[in-house]
Amino acid sequence: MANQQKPLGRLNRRQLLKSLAIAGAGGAAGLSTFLASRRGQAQSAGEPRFLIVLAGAGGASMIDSFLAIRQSEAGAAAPGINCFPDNEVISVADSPFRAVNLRRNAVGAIPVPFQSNQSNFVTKHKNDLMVVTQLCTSVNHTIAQKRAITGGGSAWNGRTLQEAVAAQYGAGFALPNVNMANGGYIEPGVDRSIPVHAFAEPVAQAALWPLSLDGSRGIKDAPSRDRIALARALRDQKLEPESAFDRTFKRSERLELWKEQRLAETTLEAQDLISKLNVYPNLPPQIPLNDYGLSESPDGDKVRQKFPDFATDPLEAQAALAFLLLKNRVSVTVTISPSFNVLLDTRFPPKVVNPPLAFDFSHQSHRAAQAVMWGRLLGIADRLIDLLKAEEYANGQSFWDRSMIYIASDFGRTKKRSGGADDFGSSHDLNNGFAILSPLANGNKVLGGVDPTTGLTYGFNPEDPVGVPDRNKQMSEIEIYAGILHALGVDTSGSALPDMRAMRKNA
Amino acid sequence: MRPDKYLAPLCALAFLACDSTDELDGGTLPPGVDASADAGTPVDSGPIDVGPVFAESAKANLRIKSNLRLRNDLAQALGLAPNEVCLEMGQYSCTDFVHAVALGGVEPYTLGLNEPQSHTTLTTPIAVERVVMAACTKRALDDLGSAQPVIWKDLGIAADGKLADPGTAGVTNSITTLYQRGLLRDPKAREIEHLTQLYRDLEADGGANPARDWAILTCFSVLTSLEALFY
Repeated sequence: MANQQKPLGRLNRRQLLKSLAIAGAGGAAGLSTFLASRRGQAQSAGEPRFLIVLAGAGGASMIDSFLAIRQSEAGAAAPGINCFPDNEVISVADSPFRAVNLRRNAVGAIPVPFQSNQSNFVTKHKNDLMVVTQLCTSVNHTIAQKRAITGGGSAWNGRTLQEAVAAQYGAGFALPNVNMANGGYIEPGVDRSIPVHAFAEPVAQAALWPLSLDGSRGIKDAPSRDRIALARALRDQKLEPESAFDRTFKRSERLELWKEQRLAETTLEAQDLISKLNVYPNLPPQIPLNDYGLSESPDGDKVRQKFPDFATDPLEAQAALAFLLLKNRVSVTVTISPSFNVLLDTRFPPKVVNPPLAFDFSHQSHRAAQAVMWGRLLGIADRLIDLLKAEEYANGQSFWDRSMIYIASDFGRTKKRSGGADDFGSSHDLNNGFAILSPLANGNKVLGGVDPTTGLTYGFNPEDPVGVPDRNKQMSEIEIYAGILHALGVDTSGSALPDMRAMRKNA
Repeated sequence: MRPDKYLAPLCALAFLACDSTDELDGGTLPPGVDASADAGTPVDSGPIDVGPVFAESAKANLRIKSNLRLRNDLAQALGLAPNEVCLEMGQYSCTDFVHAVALGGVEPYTLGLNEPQSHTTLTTPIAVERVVMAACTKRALDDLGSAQPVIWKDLGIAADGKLADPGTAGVTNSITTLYQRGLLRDPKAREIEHLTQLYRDLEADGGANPARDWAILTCFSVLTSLEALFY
């Protein structure tokens, strides 16, 4: 047991070396093939499918969006549970979904008016939208976040959804699994057996991160790439091997990992990702790209039109980078998340872009926090989908045709309020569900349901593609985890994961 | 100057670290490794140009310098202020902001990343090289235009940007200064030989400013070496 837990913190060192070497090779066919063959790793089977995890950090409540309850449905219980005036809950035509359109004068104690419109989003994307109910197992943010991406922590030996997707499809990609989130959403899984390339590359500053993909470009007066190559070769082949340090510590696993990771440098640089992934235009004096020999992405205009506030809103920057990572076939899975920091747009009229604590501002003002944050997430998802739909993958198929957005949530929120209050606080609750957007999912379906007199969701028959509701069943984290992977075509043989036919489009 | 004078404390630290609960490989020794002769124990005087041969460390528990340590060590070695070491586009700190997480740092206030990554990631070597390249470039350019250079002194650069003679004492002394400031030891004869040969290789490509680039790349190759980055 000790031997399993010590190496490199959470990961087995040999497995990590193997995985990162292949991941480093990534996207670059030459080195990828070389390392894959050298390490005996199979290439991914089948064309890739793409997973975008969009974190509902703080607790995205399903009964404040697609499963909203009208006061008239709650009856006598209405003053005591979280339900809405009937006119604020919109039933979307030809779909089982509801949407909440709200307008209020303040976000809790923040005296800034807001309005939210979920119905436009649902109307536009209903055929790709699937809502599943679930009962999670933790109301601690960090733990619950990690369980939302690991099926409760141990669904498949503890590997995250992103690691599973990267393991399946990421072999030929430069950085198959890029994670820009935080808290439990960025924690690695604990499955020691995952093959190759599956571990996440953490990204903190999404808009500037592409600068870390080239060792010298953008540094004024730096020598030419050819000359740098001479210096690298001297270091790697002569100075280091002959040094007492290297000979003394040559069994260091960290040194071995480092040397493997360095192999990927020139390959990453050759792909010009420092340009392809750069959302920023030349904007002197703040962003003087031209002065430093840098350039923006060829897709810069297109991405900035969709995410014009990327420079001030970290979530927009993450979404922009997420699209470019997928579009340029650098990654097969990306994870993005709003932070817990407040973000105000002070232009007139002022706007609360991100309440403090994101969805968790529901402690102070449930209704406003949920409305603002759902609007924020759905807006990001809508724009990502538009971009992916407009980008051809191959043979007339778009990237979106092969993608999924999983709106993960830590947990739900308590369902109660007092005296029919419109503004009230809520706590963490195990009972909730998820929204999943994908042409690969069983779209235009609510799998499970909600009791309008309690606000509690209930489950469904996982074997039935119609998703027959079952009031006596709660869906487990493992089941939802399995359903997501199966919809993405991930081979889960040997995992003992349950079959979730109800969540697949072609069940 | 004896190299083992400086390696011995380092190895002693490594030995102490090996006794921690975070040791690698659970204490299982590889075949052929003598546990009684750990790092820092000279087992052979070795060839004179490369120095003594040390016992191979059985546990070899090393750490990489994280973002702030890297920044401060580079600043110290190259005689720069910490905020001069590396600035993306001349204004955004590489080590404190742009590449902080890739360099093993944290980002608690804006992103809630409270713990550093447990291992180096694929972009870490590139980020490290970027930081060192920026710092070395600044040092070289400042020195070559200064009457009181910190490292690159009396190189004898001709008007065509070439070294008049790569074998001069000025070249050797500059390399020695770099090693003393960066690695806290003298260079071996072989290392001086390799780095002098690097100049000849650079000059052979016919490009401009081979001497300037040699100063930058000598600094780069030494300060991105394993010995400079791990402890």
